[in-house]
Amino acid sequence: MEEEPETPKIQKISVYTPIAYVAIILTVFIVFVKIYQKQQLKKKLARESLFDHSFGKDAYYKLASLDDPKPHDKLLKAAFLRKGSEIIRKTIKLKEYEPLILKLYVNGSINEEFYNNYKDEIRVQESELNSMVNEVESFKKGWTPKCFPLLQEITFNEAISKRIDSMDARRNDFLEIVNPTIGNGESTNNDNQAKGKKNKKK
Amino acid sequence: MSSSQYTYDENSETWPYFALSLAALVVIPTTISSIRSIVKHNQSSKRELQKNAKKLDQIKNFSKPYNYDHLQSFNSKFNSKNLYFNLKNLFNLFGIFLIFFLIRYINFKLANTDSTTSGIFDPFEILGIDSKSTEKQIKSHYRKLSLKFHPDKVDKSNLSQDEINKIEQTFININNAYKALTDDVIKENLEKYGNPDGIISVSRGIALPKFLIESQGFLLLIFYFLLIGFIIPFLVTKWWSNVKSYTKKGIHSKTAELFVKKILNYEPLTLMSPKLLISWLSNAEEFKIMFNNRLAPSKIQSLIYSYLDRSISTDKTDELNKLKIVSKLPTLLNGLIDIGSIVRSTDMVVSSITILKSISQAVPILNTQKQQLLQLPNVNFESVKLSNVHTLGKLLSLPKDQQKITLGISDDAKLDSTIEFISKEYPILKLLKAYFAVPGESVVPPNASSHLIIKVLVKSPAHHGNPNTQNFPSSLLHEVETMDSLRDPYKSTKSQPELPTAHSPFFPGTRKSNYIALLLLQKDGKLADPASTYENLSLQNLELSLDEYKSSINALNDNNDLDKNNKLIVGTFKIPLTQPTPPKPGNYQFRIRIFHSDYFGCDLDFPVIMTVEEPKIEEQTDQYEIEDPDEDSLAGVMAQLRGEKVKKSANDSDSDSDSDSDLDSSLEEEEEDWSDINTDTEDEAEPETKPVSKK
Repeated sequence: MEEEPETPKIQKISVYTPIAYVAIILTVFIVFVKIYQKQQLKKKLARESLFDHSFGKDAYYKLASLDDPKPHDKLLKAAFLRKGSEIIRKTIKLKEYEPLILKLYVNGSINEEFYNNYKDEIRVQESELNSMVNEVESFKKGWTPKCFPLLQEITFNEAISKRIDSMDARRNDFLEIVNPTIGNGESTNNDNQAKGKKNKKK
Repeated sequence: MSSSQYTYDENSETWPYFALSLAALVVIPTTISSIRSIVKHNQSSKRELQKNAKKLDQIKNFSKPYNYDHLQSFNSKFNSKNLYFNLKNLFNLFGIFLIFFLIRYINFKLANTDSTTSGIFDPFEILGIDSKSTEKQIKSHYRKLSLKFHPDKVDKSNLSQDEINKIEQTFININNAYKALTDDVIKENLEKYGNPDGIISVSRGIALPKFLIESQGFLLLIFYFLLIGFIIPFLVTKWWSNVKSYTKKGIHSKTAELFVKKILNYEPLTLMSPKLLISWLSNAEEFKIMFNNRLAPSKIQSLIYSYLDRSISTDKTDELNKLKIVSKLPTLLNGLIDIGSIVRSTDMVVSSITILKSISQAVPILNTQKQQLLQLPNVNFESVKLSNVHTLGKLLSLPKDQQKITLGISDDAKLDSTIEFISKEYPILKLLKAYFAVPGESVVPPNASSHLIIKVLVKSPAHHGNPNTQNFPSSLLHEVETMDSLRDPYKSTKSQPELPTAHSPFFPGTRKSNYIALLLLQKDGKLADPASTYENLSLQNLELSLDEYKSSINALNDNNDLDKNNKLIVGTFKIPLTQPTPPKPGNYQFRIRIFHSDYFGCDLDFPVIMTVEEPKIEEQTDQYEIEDPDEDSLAGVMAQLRGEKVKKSANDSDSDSDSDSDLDSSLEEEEEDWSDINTDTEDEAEPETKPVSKK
C-alpha cells in the first residue's frame, strides 16, 4: 500500500474492447451450446428402441404408403389394429416396469443414460398413442371410443395366445435341464429350479 | 492494490517445503497401503497354507484338471499380480526418493543461510544475560560486548570481508538489544510486535521456484494453460466416463442395459433357463471389449459350453479365450443376480446361481441332474451319467465297489481320497429353526422393520442322524437379545468365521465361497427382497468324526445342552427385510432358498410363516399421547380456533383465590405430574426386560 506516488500510466483502451470481450465470450458460449445440443439430438435420434423390432408398425406404414393399387380398406384397418395393439402392449409394459427401472437406477444397477432412454421411450410411446387418435379419426369420424377398447381386447387376447403358444417351448426347455431319462427311480433334489411355480402376470 | 506484496519464492525458501508436503501427502498413504496389502497377503497366504495342509494331503491323490496346462499359462499371464514389483510400488519408490532429495535440499539450504539475520529477536540472548537481570547488569554487559565487537576496535587485518560484515552485524544487534532493554518506546515495540523496529511488513510469497518465473513467467503461463485447459479436463472426463461406463455392481453399463432390454422383451412363460441366460451373457459388452469384437456371441457361447463339458480343443488360443471368458462370468452373473433381484424374478436369480455353480465346478448344466456327483474330484463323467445315483448322501451309503462303478474310479486310493473329500468339504445344511424377529419386540408387530433369523446345523454328508428340533435346547435355537444385538442385529452373523475358498480346480482364479439367500413370497413365487449374500458360517462341524457327531446330536436331541460331549456348532443366517412388515395382523407365507455359491447339493429350501400381531396393549396406553394444549398458550388459541379441546389453565380456575392457595394447587398438580412420570418409567422399562427374561 505504501507505493511511491508514481505518475500513474494510463493506457487508453477503446470503448469497444469490453464489448468485443463480451461478444467473444458470448459467441464461444453460444457455439458451444449449439454444438452440444446438436450432439445430444444426434444421440437421441440414434437411440435404439428398447423393444425388439416390431413387424406391425412397418407393415401398416408400408400398406398406407401404397398408392397405385390402393390396398383394401379392410386390410388397412386390420394392419392398423395390429399396430395399435402393439403400441398398447408396449405402453402397458413400460408403465409396469417404470418403478422397477427407477429402483434399478437408484440402486446403481443401470446408469443415467439408460434411465433417460427409458423416459424417452415412454414419451415416444405416448406420442404414438396420441398420433393414433388422429389416425383413428381419419379412418372414420367418431370411431375412437369404440376403437380403443377393441385394441385393448386384441392386446389381451394376444397375450393369452402367446402364453399358450410358448407352453411347448417351455416344456422342451424344462426337459433340457432335467435329464429326459429321469424317472428311473431316483427322486429329484430340491436344488434344481422350481420351474412350474411361475405365475406370470398379465 | 500493490502487487509488490506478493513475491515469488526468489530464494527458494518455501517451495521445497511446499513440494515436500505435497509429495508426502500422496506418497505416504500409498506406501502404507501397499505395505499393508503385502503384509496382509503374506498373512493370509500363511493361513491358507496351514488350512490347506490337510487338504493338500488329500488333493495329491486327485487327478490333475484336464485343462491344467492352460490354467497355468492363463494364471501366469493374467492372474499374477506381482505384489512387490508393480507400477504402484515403482511410483512409491520414486516418491520416497523425491522426498529424501527434498529433505536433503532443505538441509543444504538451511546450512547455507545466515541464521543471525533470521529468527526471533531476543535481546537477552544477544547480550548473553539472564532475563531477570537489573538495568545495571545490562549496562555493564553491553559495555563489555560493545568494546569487544566495536568495528573500530577489532583487528581487521586478518579477516575476510564476510567476517567483517558478520562482526558489524553483531555490533548492530548488540546496540539494538541494548536499546530494546533501555528505551521505553523500543521496549514497547518489542513487547507488542516481537521486533524493536515496530510492525514488520508482512510479505506473502508464492511457493514456486525461481526458474519457473524467469523469462517473464512465460513457462509458467504455458504450464497453467496446459494444465487448466487440457490436462485437468482430459483427466476428469476420462475418469468420469470410466465411472459412468460401469455400474455399481462392476458390470459394463451396456451389459446392464442389454440385460434390462432382454427382460423387457422377454416373452412371457418362456423358461428363464440357464441356457437363455448364457445366451444373454455371451452378448455382454465385456466380451466385445475383451476380444475387440472379433469373437461372435455364438462362438463365446460354444466356448462356455465346452468349458462346462470339460472338453478340450487342440486350438491353444481357443483354450485361452475360454478361460478368459469364464473368469469374467462370475462378475456378470452377480450383475444378473442384482438386476433379477430388483425385477423380482426368482427364475432369473436361481438360474444365475446355477450357472455360477456350474462355472465354479465345470459341470454341465443341460441334460443332467447329477451335478452333485459330477462336481467331485476324480470322477468319470460317462459312468456318472449312466448311474442312478444323484445325491452325495446316497453315494456314501453305497458299498465300496458300487461307489467305484458309479463314479468310474478304478484306483482304491483315489476313491478313498474322493470319499474323504466329500465328507470333509461339502457342508450339508439342516434347518433347526427359522423365525421372524423385530429388535426389541417379543412379537412381530405391523409396519415394523424385521429380519429373519435362520438357525442351521452344518453337517457332512457322511454324518448320520438328523437333529430333532422339537427337543433341541432352546438356547441354541433362539438369539439372545442384548444391547449389542439391538444396535446391530447382523453383528452376530458376521462374527462367525469366514467361509473358506471353494475347491474349484478348473476355474481360473480362486472362488471365495458364500451363501446366497432368497426370500420368496408364496403367493406369487416372486422375490420379496433382493438376494443377500453371506460370507460367514462356521464349518467346524465337518471336522467331527462320525462318532463325535453321533454322540453330540444324540445329546442335543435329548435336550442335554450342558453335555460336555457336545461339539456341534449352530450357524446363523439373518436375512434383513427391506420392506416393513404388513400393516394388517395375520399369517404371511414365505419360502426361503439358501444356495451355496459353488457346490451342488448344499442348499436349503423351506417355508416360513410370518405371524404379524399387534403388540400387547399396555395398561396406560395414553402415556405417549399429546396432551391438549393449555388455554393460555399459542397452541391452545390455535386449537380453540380449530374447535378442539383445550386444557383450562390453572390460574384461570383459581383466579379469585389468593396467591398462596394458587401456589398450593399448582404444587399439587406438580406432585401428580411426578407420580405420572414415575409410572411412565416403569412402563418403559417393562418391554425391555420382558423379552430377555422370556428367553
